[in-house]
Amino acid sequence: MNKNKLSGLNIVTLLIIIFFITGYIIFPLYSLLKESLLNPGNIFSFTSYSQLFSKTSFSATFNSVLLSVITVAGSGITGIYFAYAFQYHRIPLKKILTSVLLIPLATPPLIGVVAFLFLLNENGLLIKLLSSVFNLHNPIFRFDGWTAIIVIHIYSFYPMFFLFVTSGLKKIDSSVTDASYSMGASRSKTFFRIILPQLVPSITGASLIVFMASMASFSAPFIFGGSDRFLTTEIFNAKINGDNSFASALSVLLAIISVAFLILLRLYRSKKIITQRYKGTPKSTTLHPKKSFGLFSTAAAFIFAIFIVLPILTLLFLSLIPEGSLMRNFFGESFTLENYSRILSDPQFFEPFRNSVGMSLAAVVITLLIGVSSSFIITNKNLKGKSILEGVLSLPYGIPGTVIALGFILSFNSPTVFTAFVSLVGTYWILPLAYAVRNLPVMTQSSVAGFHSIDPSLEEASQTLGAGGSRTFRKIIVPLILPSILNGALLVFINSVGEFVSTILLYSYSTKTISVEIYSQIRMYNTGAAAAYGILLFLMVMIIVYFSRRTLDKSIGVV
Amino acid sequence: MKSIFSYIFLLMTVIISGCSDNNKTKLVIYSPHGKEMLTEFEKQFESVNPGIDVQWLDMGSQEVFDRIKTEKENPLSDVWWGAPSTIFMRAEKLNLLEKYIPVWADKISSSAKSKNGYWFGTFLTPQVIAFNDKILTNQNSPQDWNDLVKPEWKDRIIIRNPMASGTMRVIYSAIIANSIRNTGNEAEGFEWLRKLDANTSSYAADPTQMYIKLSGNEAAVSLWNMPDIILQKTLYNYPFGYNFPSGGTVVLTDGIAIVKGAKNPEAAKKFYEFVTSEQSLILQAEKFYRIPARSDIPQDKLPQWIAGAHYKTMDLDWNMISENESEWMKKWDSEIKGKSK
Repeated sequence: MNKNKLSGLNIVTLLIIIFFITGYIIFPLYSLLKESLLNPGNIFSFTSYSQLFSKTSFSATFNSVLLSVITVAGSGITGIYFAYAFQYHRIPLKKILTSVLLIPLATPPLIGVVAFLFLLNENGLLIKLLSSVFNLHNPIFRFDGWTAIIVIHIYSFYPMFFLFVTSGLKKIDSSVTDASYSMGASRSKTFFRIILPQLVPSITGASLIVFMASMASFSAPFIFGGSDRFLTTEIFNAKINGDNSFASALSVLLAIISVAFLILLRLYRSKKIITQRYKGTPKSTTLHPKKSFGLFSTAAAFIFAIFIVLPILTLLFLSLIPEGSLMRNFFGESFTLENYSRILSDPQFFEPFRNSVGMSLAAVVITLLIGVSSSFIITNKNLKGKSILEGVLSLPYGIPGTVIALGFILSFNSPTVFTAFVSLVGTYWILPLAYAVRNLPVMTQSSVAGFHSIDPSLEEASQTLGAGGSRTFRKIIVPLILPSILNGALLVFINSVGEFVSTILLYSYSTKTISVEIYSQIRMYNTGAAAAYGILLFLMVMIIVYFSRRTLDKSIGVV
Repeated sequence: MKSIFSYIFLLMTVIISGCSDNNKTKLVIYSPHGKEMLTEFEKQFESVNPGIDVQWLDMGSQEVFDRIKTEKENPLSDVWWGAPSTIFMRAEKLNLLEKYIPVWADKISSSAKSKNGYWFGTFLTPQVIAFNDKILTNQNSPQDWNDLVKPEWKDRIIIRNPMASGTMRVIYSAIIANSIRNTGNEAEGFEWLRKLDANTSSYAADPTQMYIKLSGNEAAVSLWNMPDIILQKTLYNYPFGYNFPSGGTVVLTDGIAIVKGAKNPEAAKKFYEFVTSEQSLILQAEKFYRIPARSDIPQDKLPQWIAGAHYKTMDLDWNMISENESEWMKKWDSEIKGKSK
């Protein structure tokens, strides 16, 4: 394999990549920018931008940022605490608890929102249960507005901190903490003086990712936002009101804020790689000396695990109750599989499943083609402007689904070069393309990591032993990078299969997905059908995660 | 390693090959009329026209309008069943509708149809003050518009998110139009809406969320259309009661139209005529509490409740509302909503 020269095939590949990037990332962003600079008479003006300086747009921006900060703080405290407790305290059933605590990672955000809605709103299961047990007439509390959004955000996003901090803690040399204890430092002093400073890189990474995810969040503010404004819901409202120009200006603002954080994240990552070069030999961690704290953490972990599982159990419970009046009690009714058998037997009920899975697989294929080939070029070829290519490929990570969808609508509602001269709006393909664009960075980063992990000496050895380029590629490179690529594909699939944010703007009757179906079942308040769809989606993701993890673990073991 | 590929391949084949495309004509209906009514008429229409497969999407009428506008280059729907006349007027101006004159075109008053035949009225829908009748009665609930902004109703009013709801947009715009007629300017109307916002405890994301909030254990009040309120009460035992505002209420004309560039214009016309036939209108009145806009349906064939519904109609300039609605709603959204908190 020649490291420097581009072969003919490489050039063709590169042209395809550039065509894709121009058509599906740059062109939609350009269309957004253009639309935001036009007034209703299609004349160039800054009217929409001047509206951004109004009090309402300011409060939407302020709320979105504040919500993200609170989300980061809340998820951070929760995630760091449990990562610390699981690392240093004696907690029974640690392995099972860890899997339970990571459930939200595989739960599409809309499912979380719906589950909480059914659990805690005015008509929710828990509220009904408490009212009937204590014979109350007034609702105990109202699950609405900021509280509701923050609870749901922490539920969905804290696992990021849990994962990052856990891996950070594993790297800490326990001889340092032992030294601290033996010199008489208290637990909290050791934690704040010794452990926490070493966790800074993990915490920074998780914070930036959670911040961006929270800025882009749509379902929770949409359902629970009430009269509070957030950027994503303001974009939706402006679009519904027919004001595409203002919706675009808001999108540009949201994209700028998120991309700024993306740049911070990239800066931080490049720094972190350098620090990681210093490899120590960490001793295995010693458990916490005092057992009492372990008891407290055990209790906390079990209670938190219940909080994690409760929404899913609510969905399961409701999916087993036949459709009927909402005003009934819900308890004491006989269980039935009616809701499931209807979904699985009626072709119309089954269609959303076919769409979601088909579209997600298509998105996986597109990201595989574009992501893997571009990361191959990025890591193996010397090319001018490589960093630009890398930057543009990671851009969609900072662009919320709402913004991508709006860009797609503005770009592809008339025929273009990039869409083989057809209008894409309302077609099947606009959805997998939107999913693919949003997830391209995930795929690219996974496969770049895969290519980086290959030791060049392996390639050389293979060639010295007489293997040709293609044989080396098949026998050496592919097996080595496959786990990373499959991991990327898995993430793309999970992110796409329950996607709601851009889907709600892009679907049409024949391209309804599971998330849209769940949303419209809630609109009609068919709790049973919505819950059954939710449970099936949840199970599908769980099964896929379980099997691919096993396959991945095996293949990594072989390597 | 091969196993995961075979899993994925298998999954892909099973799922994609599951496509069982039948040869029926697919007729797509966009409508805010709710699943009960849509399912009923889907079944009835399909039983008479076995070659047509009716597919409907249930959305707020403002969302329908936004969709049809977005899909202008590549229309994906055939019939638009249900939206206030004001939205149809705007759609007609934007050239989103196909001209179609139904057989009963002259049986309807000129204010309830498009002059050029692009849309026709189906129902007259009075808006009401709805309340939770577990706690409130017709007597101690708000009687007229101005009662709603009194201090005793503070934090007891629940409103469906007005931006996405054709119904709420018309009610709010009617308040402004009424203010212009009475005082010559918008100021008084917006002031009233500001007071209403101050009394509003929450904005619901969709009608069902509004029904649920309204049916909790509080003395809650909302503004909504009469047919939906009665229908939800009858079908699902929601504890709802309602008052017609004593000084006169907003009565909007719901309409129907064929979407410009509809893929199946012939089937669309059939559906159009089917759901607006005398027989269908009577059924819609009996089962779904809709008051027909057609004036030629004999009183004695219509259910009793229509004759018994006594309400005063507010006199409104619908053209003005249609033209200014977007601007007024934008002003409401940016200058009033949530400002009194």
